[in-house]
Amino acid sequence: MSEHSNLIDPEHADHHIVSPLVYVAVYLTLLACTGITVWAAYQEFGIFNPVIAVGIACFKGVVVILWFMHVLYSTKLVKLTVFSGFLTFLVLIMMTMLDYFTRAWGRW
Amino acid sequence: MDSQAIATGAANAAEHHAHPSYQRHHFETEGQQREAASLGMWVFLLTEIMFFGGMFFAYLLYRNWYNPAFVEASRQLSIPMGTANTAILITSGFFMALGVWAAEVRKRNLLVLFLILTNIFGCAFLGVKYFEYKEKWEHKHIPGIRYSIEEFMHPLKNANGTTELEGAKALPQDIAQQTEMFFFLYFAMTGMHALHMIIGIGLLVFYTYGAAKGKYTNGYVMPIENFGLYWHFVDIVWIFLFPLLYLINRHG
Amino acid sequence: MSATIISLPDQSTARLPKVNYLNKEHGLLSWLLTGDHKRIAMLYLISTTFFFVIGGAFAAFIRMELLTPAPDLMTSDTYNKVFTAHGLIMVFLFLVPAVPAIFGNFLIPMMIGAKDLAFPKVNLLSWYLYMVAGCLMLGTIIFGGVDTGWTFTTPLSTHYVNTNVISAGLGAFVAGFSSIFTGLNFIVTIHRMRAPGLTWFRLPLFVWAHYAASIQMILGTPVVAIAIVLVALERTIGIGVFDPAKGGDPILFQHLFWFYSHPAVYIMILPPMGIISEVMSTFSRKRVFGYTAVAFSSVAIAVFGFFVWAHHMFIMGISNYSALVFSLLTMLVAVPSAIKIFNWTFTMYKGSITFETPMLYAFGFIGLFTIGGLTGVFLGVMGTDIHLTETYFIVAHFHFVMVGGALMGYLAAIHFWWPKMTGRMYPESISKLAAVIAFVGFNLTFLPQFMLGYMGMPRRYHAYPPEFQVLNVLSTAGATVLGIGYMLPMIYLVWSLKYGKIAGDNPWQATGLEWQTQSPPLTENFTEIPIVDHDAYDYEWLAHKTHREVTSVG
Repeated sequence: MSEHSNLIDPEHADHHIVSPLVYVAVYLTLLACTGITVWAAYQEFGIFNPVIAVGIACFKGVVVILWFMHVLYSTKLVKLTVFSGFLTFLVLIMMTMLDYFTRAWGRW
Repeated sequence: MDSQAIATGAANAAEHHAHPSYQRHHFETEGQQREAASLGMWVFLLTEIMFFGGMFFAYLLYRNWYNPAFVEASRQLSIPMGTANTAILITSGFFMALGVWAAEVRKRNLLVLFLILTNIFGCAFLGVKYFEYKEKWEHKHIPGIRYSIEEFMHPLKNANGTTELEGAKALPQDIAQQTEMFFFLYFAMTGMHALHMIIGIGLLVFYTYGAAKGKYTNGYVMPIENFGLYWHFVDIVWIFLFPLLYLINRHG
Repeated sequence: MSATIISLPDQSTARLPKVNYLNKEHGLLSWLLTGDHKRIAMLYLISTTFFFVIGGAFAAFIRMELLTPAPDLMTSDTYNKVFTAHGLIMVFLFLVPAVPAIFGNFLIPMMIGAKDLAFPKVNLLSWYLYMVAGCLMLGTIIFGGVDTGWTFTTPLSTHYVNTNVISAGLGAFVAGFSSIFTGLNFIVTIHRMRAPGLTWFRLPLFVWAHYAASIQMILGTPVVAIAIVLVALERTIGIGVFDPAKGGDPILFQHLFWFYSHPAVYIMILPPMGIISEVMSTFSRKRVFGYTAVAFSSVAIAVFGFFVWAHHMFIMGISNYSALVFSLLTMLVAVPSAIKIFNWTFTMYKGSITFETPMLYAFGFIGLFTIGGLTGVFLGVMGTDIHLTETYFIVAHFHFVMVGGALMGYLAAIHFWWPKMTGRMYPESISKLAAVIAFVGFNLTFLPQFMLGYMGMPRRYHAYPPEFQVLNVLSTAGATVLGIGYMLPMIYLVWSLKYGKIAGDNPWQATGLEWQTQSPPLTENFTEIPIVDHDAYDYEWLAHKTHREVTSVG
């Protein structure tokens, strides 16, 4: 890669090639989390059941994003882009919830 | 955001002539093209997050409103099949990541192998989904088209008197009718997901063909990497769909 | 008013450049399969103008019906279809796409010193999607129309009408994806393809405005897309997601719809605001006052714009608490817009102001957008909104910002960049006249509507109490004048293609990279990538330029 590529895009990705062993570790982690989430569904955690389920899903999602999708090794711009996407998603959920939570919530 | 760009003179004019064949003419360097394509794919994935987001909110709302109905409706889904599908899709993603690695280290045959494996597991996922949908059709749980609340008012029983589905409770009619909402969201969300899988599989075939010709193992990793981003995104959607749809209250 | 900054080459010897993007290749396919952002911009120019005329015709029908209090021109169903068609076409086929797809497409690569957008094929795809959307909308209208209003409010659209909701929704869906791909292209281009030396804070504010609008395009549009899909499914299969009888909530649709449609209005206004920055600066010969503030305000509008959507739903049944929160946030989102107005005004202070046509439209924008924006704030206050919503006050409000604001900005742009895009100047005196006619016509049309709304005339009704007739007649008269004001540019701009004066590279003596190239530009814009070492709107740099950084051909 020529040193002049900095000319046009001064910030570029690490170009670090992720080793397959890292992928294997990630893969096993994801499978393990799947097992845990199924196990947890059969346990009685009351109000925390859905919290745990979504929490584990979020963890798995983050793992996929950082390693399989290389975001950990990407430019700041890509990291910012991913973050803003989830932020907007949260805005949609939270602010719509704001309406429903204050007029129509709870077990019916 | 970069706020300083390095200014150089016309020294890079000579650079223009030495560019790889896959570099398009409106880009100055191959690195610029790669970074632009990657950012472009990520921006597209943002639109996909917001596209699925609306359905996730609808799910959140109606699961809260109709919890008992959702619990019973979710019980109709097969956890073994759902778990298997999750594992299948994760495996598919694993092979996709390995495929990107193979392209980066320029191993053509490995790349083709990994793309084919990704595809096989993707098709397997769809195969399992087909059986799940078929079962729903047989039990008359297709909302709007072929829907019956019979099984919710009178859960199917085994010969020895226990319910066929473990823990199933009979619902009164008005609540049983709300199960249709669950199935609507189930089909809408998994259906939209499956549509994205089908598109992905089609693209995989295309990329496998190109990979076999060595198109992506001479430095032109970008299409494989960006397709990988799409594929992993579809995987993440399923990672969320699985616990939300299949694992509601299986205890007690 | 004899002072002018127009500087044309000697007409007796001036010629259009021998090679430019218009004559580089010939034949229909070279246009239909082009990747050149400038050609795609021209394709959009023709198609958006076509749909604008159709939308305008529907507006004419509305105003004709409203000349008299009695519903005597058309049945109520037909009237519903007419205003729905007007809204759908104007919003989805003109206001959202036009400025970004024409001027953004044409100018962004040139303003940042690039040879094209990042993804030329995606750009072409955007145009084809737009055409498909247009055909779907036209088809909807031809095959019986849709009468739900452009907002597809549930449960009316899902359960109570048997008109072509699905095809109209599909048209909006496809238009949405056209918009998404345009926004995607702009974001990647602006991030990754700026010329050496062109830092973010040296970018023209036009680019900042389009960047902000693009963020809204990509994050907001998919949500309305899924909302439309759900409406279509509800209508076909009847699943009940918005049907109270089956446990659904119609308000859910509105949340999803307005989550996009409020940012959509900023998508419609931010690019024209970018235009105003350029025009104000050029015709005051002065740097835009508070460049950083204007740049950050654009982004602030884009971000805050996502937090206020439920102010369209105050009376629809949302909770008082959430209505309160959304009302407060709406107050907040007005601030960046106001900051921009103040900054443009201060740009003129101690500048050398001249009154060419683009500047006339810019003045119109400042005045009319201020009124429109202020009335928006009145409506954002829940207490007043309860009385004014669904009346002509709302209609007047959004026409002030959309027509008095966005459309005036569009017209300013068309006149400002016409010489660059075509190499020809339009006739200045007729264009000034047309601008004044449009301004007068606009005010005559829409100022009475504020009064009508305040007095209680509901919107979307084709009959009204007789005491409202005088104002309605004034409004219709104004619409006629406005129509003339819009038809004149169509005529003289086309005329100028053959008979207009040769414009030369930089008839306005403007800063900006696009003005340092030939008119019309080369297909590749620049023969070599420029190096930028000066700020935007740097008139001293322009004055001291001894040689052109980029050469022209022919």
